[in-house]
Formats: sequence, C-alpha cells, structure tokens
Amino acid sequence: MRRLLLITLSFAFIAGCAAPQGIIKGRVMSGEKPVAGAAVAAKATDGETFTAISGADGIYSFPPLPSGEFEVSASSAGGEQFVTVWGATHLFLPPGGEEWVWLKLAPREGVIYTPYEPSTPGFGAISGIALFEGEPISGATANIYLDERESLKGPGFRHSFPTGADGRFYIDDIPDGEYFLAVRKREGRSIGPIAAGDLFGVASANPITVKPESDSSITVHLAEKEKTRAPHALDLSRSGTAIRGRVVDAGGAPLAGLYVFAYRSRIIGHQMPDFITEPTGADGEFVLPLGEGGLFYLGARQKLGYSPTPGELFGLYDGAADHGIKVQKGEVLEGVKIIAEEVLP
Amino acid sequence: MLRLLSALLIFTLVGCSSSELKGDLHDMPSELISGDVTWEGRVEVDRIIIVGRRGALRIAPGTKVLFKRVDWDGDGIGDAEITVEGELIAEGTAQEPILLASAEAEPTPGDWKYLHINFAKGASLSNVRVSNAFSGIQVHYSKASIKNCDFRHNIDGVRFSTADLTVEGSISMQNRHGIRFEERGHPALISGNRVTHNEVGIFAVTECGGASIFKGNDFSANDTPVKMGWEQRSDIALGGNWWGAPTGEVKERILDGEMDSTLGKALITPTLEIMPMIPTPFAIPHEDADWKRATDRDIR
Repeated sequence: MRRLLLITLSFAFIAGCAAPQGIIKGRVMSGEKPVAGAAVAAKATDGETFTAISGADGIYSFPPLPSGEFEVSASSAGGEQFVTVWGATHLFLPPGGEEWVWLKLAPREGVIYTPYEPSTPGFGAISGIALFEGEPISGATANIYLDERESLKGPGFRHSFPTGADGRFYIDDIPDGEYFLAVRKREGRSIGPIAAGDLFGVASANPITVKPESDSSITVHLAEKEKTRAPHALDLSRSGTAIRGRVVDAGGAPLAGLYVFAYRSRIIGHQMPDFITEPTGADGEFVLPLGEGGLFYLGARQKLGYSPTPGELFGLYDGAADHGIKVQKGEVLEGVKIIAEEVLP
Repeated sequence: MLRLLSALLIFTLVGCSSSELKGDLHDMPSELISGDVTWEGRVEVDRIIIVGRRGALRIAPGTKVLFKRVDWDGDGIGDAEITVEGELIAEGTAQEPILLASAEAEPTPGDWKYLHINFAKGASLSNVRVSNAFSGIQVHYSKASIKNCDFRHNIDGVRFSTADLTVEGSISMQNRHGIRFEERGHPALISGNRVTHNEVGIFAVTECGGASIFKGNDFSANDTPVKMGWEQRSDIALGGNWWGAPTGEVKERILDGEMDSTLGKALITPTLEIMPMIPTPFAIPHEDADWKRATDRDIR
C-alpha cells in the first residue's frame, strides 16, 4: 500500500511538473498463453521503478511515465514462478510516445550443484540444458559474462561449444565467482545482434555462483525473437538519436554494401562495435540509430567480425582527428561523411 | 616538403603539464598531420599527435622527441602520444639514433601513452630508442618494420595485434612485457632480438599461434619467460630461441597450459644451444642530457 502510495505520489509530482509523458503497455505471454497477474516493472535510468499488473488476457499498462530510458521486465509469483526470457527489455520512451512491449515468461529455474573435478584445482564449471518450447534445442551456445553491464552481448568471458540434440552445454574450468549466463542460437550467422528468428534466453538465477570443484547446472528457456518484440532502444523512431550520412570513396562516389559502426571506446576494432547499421544502399546513405547520446568513434567497412582484410573497403570518420563525434540525446546529426578505401595488402 | 623545426613544435598546454585531469581524450588538445612533415632537433610533445591517412611523418636522424606527462583522463598514464594512420618513417643511424622518451626530470614508465601505428599505410623504424611510455610501440591493423631499435622502461616494450610486423636486431629490456601480442592470424616475424630482463618476456594475450615466427632471439633473464592470456587456447611455437637456462628450469617459470589446462602451451624446444650475438644497435650519446636521463637506469 505504501509502495502504491509512493508510486501515486511520484506520478502526481511528475504530472505537477507537466513533464512530457508517454505510455508503456503490452502483453505478458508464456508460450502461446497469456499470463495473468504478472508483475511488470519499468526501471528508469535513475533507478526509480514503476510497476503494473497484467490482466486476465496478459495485457498490462503503466500509467503515464516520464520520457526516458527504461528496462522493462516481468515476473509472476502465482503458483510457479516465472521470469522474462529476455532478462530485461531496454527501450526509450519518447515524449508523448506509446510503446507496446511483448514479454515472454518461462519457469524460474534454480541452480543444482554437483561435485566436479576440474583440471585446475579450485576451479568450477557451469553446465545446463537449453530448452525451446520445453524441448532441448541443438546448436545453441551458452556465454558467461562477468558483468551484467556488458548487456550480455558478444562472446563474453567464456562460451560453450554448440549444444547437441540433448540441448546440453558445458563451460569447464572457470574460477569461482559470480557469472551472468545467456544462451543464444542464431540462424545463419555466428555473430551480430539477435535478429528475428534467433533464439535467446538468460538464466533466471543470474548471477550464477560458481563454487570451487563444483558444477553449477541450470535449465535455460529460450524464446524466439519476433519482429513484434518490444521496441528497442536502437530503433531510431523510438530513441530519436542517430547519425545520418553517406559512405563514399576518395572521389566522393557513394559506396554500397558497407556497414557503419560506432564504438564508445576510442580503441576501435578490438571488440564488437556498440552500434552498427544495415549495409548501405546504392546511394551510400546510412542511418546509425543510437540508443543514447554521447561520444562515439565512427567508421565503415564491408565485413562484420574480425579485422579488415586486404582489398576490403574500410574507413574511419575524418570529421575529427580521433574519429570521434558527439551526439546529444534526441538529436539526429545529418550529413556525416565517411570515406572508405581498400585496405592495402 | 614542409619542414618544421623543433622550435615550432614545442607546444604549450596552459595549466595541464604534469597534472592529473579528468577529461575525455576527445577533448584533449591534438595536432593533425595531413601533409608531409619532418621533425628534427628537439621536439617536445604535450598532446595527441595524429598522422592522418594522407599524412607522413619523418623523424630525422638524431631527433629527440620528448613527451610531457599529461594525464588528461586521470587514469594514471600520460596521454601524450603519436598515432599514425598514414606513414611514419623514423630511421636513425648507428651514429645518430632517434630518441622517443619522457620529458620529465624523473622519468617513469607510463609518462606518455605510446607510438601507435593503427590502420596505417606503413611504418619503418630503425635505430630508435623508446623509453618510459605505456607502450613503446603498438602496431595494429598495419604493416610495420622495426629494426635495430631499443625499447626500455615501458609497461609494454613492443605490442601488436593483427599486424604484418617485422622486428629484427632490436632490444626490449626492463619493461613489464617485452613483447605483448594478439596475433589474430596475421604474420609477424620476431627475429634476432634481445628480449631480456623484463617481468614477462612474451605475453601472448589471445588468438596467438601459427602465423607469428619467433627465431634466433635471446629470451633469457625474464622473470616469466612466457605468459599466456586467459583466452589463449592454442600452443605457440617458440623453438629456435635462446632461453639462458636448462629447458626444465625455463618451463617452470612459464605460465601456460602446464599450469592451467585451459591454456595453450609454449613450445620452446628445440632451443638454441648457443646464445645468439645480438649487438647493441647504436651508440648512445651519454653526454646529451636528454639521452642521459632516458638511459641512466639501463642494464648494460
């Protein structure tokens, strides 16, 4: 009751300030069934958390919220416990905007500890089963991360071999500590962001504790990414923050088929980019949606993954000597040019 | 060719020298070289120097490039640096070597960031002494040649990844890491060098094995001869080098798959039976105050 009062007062305060507001609503599902009574949480970047409860049809709706970034997640304590397969869905709520967020739930799974004989004394292991619609899924890879702030993207600290028909994965010989586990199965690609048709799930027991000479085993439920999934922070129409421009050759002619990438770090190329576009078209134009404002280091190249190879078209943004460019949140920078040339042998 | 004499290259950063600041390096004063520029004499650097893709920096024999300690981002490491995306030609001679070192009265490792060859058209260094940097040189995504050079008192002596690099007849001593690398399938030739008296002789961080060749080097007297990074899974062929001690004794000090089964192994046999004679590449002008300061703590 006190929490409800607090939330109500928060809204009263927001309304009193006439801050731009938006709406987040959506539906909570488990497989093909709606989940009633699920607690949906929207956590703002300042840590303030708003809650809503799903109805009998799984539909939920928050009262008007201040514009900004939110992490939306759901859980259900009715009977079996459920958690969001995706962990948390990040989105940007524009002023006056309305966002529809699908949330998929799966049973909460615990960790089972069994004795383990490591190759390195004192080390432990993480293992488990990857399930999709209740069945073991093959070809999925489990990745562990040291910090949730890595957004559970990229190869992480360690990863497993792809699962076989039994859906089992193993990550052996890791130091004791806490790890965040995510499992994904991509369709037709080995790297890049999760795309429509890919399967993804995070362990509901995250962070998973690894104990010395012990195997931490957990079941991870995967869900298919759908085009209708929650609006993503990288969707320009949602965040309103982006860089637009063209990729050209040294003579100024447009270049097609290049990806434009952005790193938050000045050290380019030693890890996956933070943001990346679709390949440019015949006009060389690109739109690089950014989930947030800040300083980004830009470039363009023909291939994804690994280092540029001889003959590949590659270039860095030359508007600043260090290839950096600043974008304010909600701003769309126009007319940014990136010159790409063949990498020399 | 545009010639810039050293007097023109003494930059001033009001209120920034030797201080610890908290700023983004994007906002740190920088200098873009977009033409063909030659440095000679005594050059003092207190900012980020970037040799752009269409630029070339030539450092004449006998030139002294001295870096002020400017910790712009407050991480404890000096941020003055030279990044090369175009071309670098730093070719001293045995009589007139080039010095890249700290400008501070009491130099320490990390006084300046690095000589950074990154997505560059090419770099050629010979008879160059590099001291008191975070990394003496870092080569990434570039083709570079390092001959008869001397890297000392740095955190990393020579560091590279994804590079087509040759290091020959050079010294990397008294650094934390003599050589630190991520091969990532690219070829490097490390031949006839003296990589000794470092905390770690060779640090294979990740994705190493197969494309880099190490031969005829003196890898003796390093506290840890070879160290594998957490993600280094493949074995590394390091036969044909001198380790200065019986094989069993050297292996005991190597951090590799013998200690942690998840790591690759350093395959150091067959070892060279005779220590390779790797001459000191150039004469050090000890009478010069800048050279004296940079070389005072050298093991001779």
